Amino acid sequence: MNSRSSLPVGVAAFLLIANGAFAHHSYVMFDGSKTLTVSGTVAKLEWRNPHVFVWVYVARTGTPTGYELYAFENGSTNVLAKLGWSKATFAAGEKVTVDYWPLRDGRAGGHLVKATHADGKVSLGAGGPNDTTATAAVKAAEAAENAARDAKP
Amino acid sequence: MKRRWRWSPLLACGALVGTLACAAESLPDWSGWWGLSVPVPEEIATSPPPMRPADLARFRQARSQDLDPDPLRYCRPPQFVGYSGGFVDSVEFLFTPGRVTLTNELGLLRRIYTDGRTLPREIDASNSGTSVGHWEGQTLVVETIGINPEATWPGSQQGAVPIGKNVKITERISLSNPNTLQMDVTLVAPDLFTAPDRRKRIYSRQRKTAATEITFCSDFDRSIDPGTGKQRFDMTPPSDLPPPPPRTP
Repeated sequence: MNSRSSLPVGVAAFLLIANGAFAHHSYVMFDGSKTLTVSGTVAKLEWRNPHVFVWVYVARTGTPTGYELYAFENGSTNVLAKLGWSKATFAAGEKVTVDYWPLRDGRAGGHLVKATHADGKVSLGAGGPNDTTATAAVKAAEAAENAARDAKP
Repeated sequence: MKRRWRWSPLLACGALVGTLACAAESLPDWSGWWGLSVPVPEEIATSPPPMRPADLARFRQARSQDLDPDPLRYCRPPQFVGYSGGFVDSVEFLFTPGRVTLTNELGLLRRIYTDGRTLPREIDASNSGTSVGHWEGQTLVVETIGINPEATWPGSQQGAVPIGKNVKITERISLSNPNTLQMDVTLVAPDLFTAPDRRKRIYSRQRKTAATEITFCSDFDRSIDPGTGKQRFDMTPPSDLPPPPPRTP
């Protein structure tokens, strides 16, 4: 897959843990032991706090419309903005592939790990059940950024 | 050490020149936004506070098992219980003559008077408490009392408990290098802790130039049931969803 992200790895790792480590719920409804992938058509980017949601129509035979609607929870607008997201990151009708930690109850959805646009660009999710620790990477990334900034005349 | 700007002693002290609080020294550059690398829950996990074992066990159980239904928890005003934010909610410091103001993106507002006044004897409890500070060289030393005893420690999180009465918080804040800020925080909370809780928090200067509001209090939260406070995953579709794409043959 032609994936690309504009963020340093350390910063991305930080943001993956950021919302979860200080989240207002514990993510027990998601199964963080496995990551699933679906492709479909964006129905809506629900840009709001405390969690942004991405709604995606996924083709499914045997359903009345031929599609099943998936819901993907994501981090807060604040954290996602630091990852480069905005309310314009996804438009309705856009093709997308979503990697996610599934709901334990089997419903169609979960917590977004990353979303890949049709052109290969990757939008990383924030929060979720697998946010262990990346603080060392955070510090390294921030230190590198600050060092680079200080080096400029 | 590279500095972007310095406060002039005249500006820093204003009309209060001559007081102990504004000795003729320039103030450090704490401009911009600051982020904390270690979230408080992780900090507590790796270095437990001096809580009674049973209280600490209850706190941990509530966090791990979602046993803390409190629908109002996330809609209370920001409260200071020794943690000024910085992990999700970036922190900023505003210097004006005789005062340092600390804010964060969750809306915490702390007014720290550095004009030489002392802590009042009579005080009304508040969510930010009452703070005075003084400079010891380039280190800001802040004392805070008058914390709302119902303010929850360690913040608006599952398992949080009221901080209790007679709380006193002492902070020593200084730059350890131009882009790293260190906060040494001592929290005395006799109703909660058996001894003072001491923390060293390291903040990094962030590139961001503007605040981004964050709130966990929402009119419609798909992840928390407002009636019970329990977790949920509400899949009620938004009312304005477009229809699915046309079927492909």
